Amino acid sequence: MVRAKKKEDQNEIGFEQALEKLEIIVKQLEKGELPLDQSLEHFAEGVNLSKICLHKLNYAEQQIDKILLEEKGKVIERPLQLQEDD
Amino acid sequence: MNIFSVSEITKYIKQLFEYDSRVASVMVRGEISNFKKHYSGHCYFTLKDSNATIRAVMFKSRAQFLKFEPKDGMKVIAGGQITVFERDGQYQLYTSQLVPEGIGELSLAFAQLKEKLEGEGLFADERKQALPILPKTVGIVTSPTGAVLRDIITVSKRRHPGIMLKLYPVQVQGAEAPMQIVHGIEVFNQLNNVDVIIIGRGGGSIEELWAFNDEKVVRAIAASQIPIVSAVGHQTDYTLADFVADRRAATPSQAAEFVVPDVRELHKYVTTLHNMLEGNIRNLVKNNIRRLEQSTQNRVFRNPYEAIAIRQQILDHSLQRLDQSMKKIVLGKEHAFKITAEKLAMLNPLAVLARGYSILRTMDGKLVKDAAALEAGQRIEIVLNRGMIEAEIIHVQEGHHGKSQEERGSK
Repeated sequence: MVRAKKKEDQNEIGFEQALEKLEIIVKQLEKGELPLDQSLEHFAEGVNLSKICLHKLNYAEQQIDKILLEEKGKVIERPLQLQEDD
Repeated sequence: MNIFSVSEITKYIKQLFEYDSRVASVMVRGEISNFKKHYSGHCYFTLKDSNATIRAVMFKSRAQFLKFEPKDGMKVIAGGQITVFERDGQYQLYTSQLVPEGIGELSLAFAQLKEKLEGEGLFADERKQALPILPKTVGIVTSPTGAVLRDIITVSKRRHPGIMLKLYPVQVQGAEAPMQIVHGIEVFNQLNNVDVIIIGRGGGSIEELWAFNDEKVVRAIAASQIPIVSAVGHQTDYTLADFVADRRAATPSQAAEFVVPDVRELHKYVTTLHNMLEGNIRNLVKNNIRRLEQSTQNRVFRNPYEAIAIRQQILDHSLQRLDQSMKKIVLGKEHAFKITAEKLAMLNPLAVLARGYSILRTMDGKLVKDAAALEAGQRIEIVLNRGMIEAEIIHVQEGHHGKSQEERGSK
């Protein structure tokens, strides 16, 4: 239960935020001034963040682009197909 | 009938000009003649066409921003206010904007609108929003047909195949264009379904790009909560959309590059960070282990008895020194005692007796050193080495060391 919630939180965090945190942690660890316990905690968090980042970068799944069309004042989305005439 | 002074009637005429909104802000097309740039920087000239002339002045405060040199015969559009110069009793056009007619009214309108919006701070850097590093979805406001959309899709998919693009199709030129562009921006903001918006069109003449100088479009871009990149493909000239957008791209392809990260590069970067993280923690642990080892490898831990042995040795050494010192003291004392004892032995009167001397004492125990203290018939004691004699004095002869006083005196 707790674990599931945690996983949810991780997905909540944006790529930019995760990347920024990761960069800060790397810098902190690089300085090597933190106590060992804290360093290990940071490390675990950093590894987790890098996984989140990589996961968010996963470009395997192809997206279908959309075109927004308005019908009767409502915006609807349709798959985008390039029209080749100009 | 009222009679006015010249000043009074001139002032009245001036007021007539100033109350008339048409001449208070006017644009006049004409040809420059008698152009003179005064040493003060102010410019004086006449605008004329085939039937009329009007005097005009452009003060230095405006003239210094002119991007061209006005010359006699040049056809221009001058914008400003017409009012009366009281001293000369002449009305003239106080020109605030001057553009060559070839470029036309659009340029003048552009300059005026730009100045106005700039004054409102719409182009200020502080207003610019940062673009997301990794947008999930990119909104595009452009024509559904043509190269712009194709370029954006091509570049986006090359850099990040997983990126989702959403197009709001609009006309990018013509009377409908500005309202459609504005609406597209608003729709994306209402749905809030994209992380960044690209608005753009391919290059074209100033007339073709005009929708992107429209005040409503500019304000819609400024009002957007979602960052906007303008890509009005026109390398040399800026549209107002370019000024107000959070980022300006020279081409639609460049806009896509700004907006869509190269996911492999980013992937590489994150992996690098991950590796650094591992390297750092490994170093940290290694350092800690080394420190720990330095402590555990210390002699104190390697041979705990050594410390005791060392102390034992120090103790032994001390004891030895104590012993020696004590011996030395005792020997010294012994020696001193011997000397004293020998001295004592020498002083012992009994020892003298052993050598054959005797001690003479009166009966009450006083030592007799001088014969004068004795008299004949007195009883005395003589102490010998062995035994004692009680005797009676027969004769006393005074003198020194057994010699009489006479004998001494004769010497």
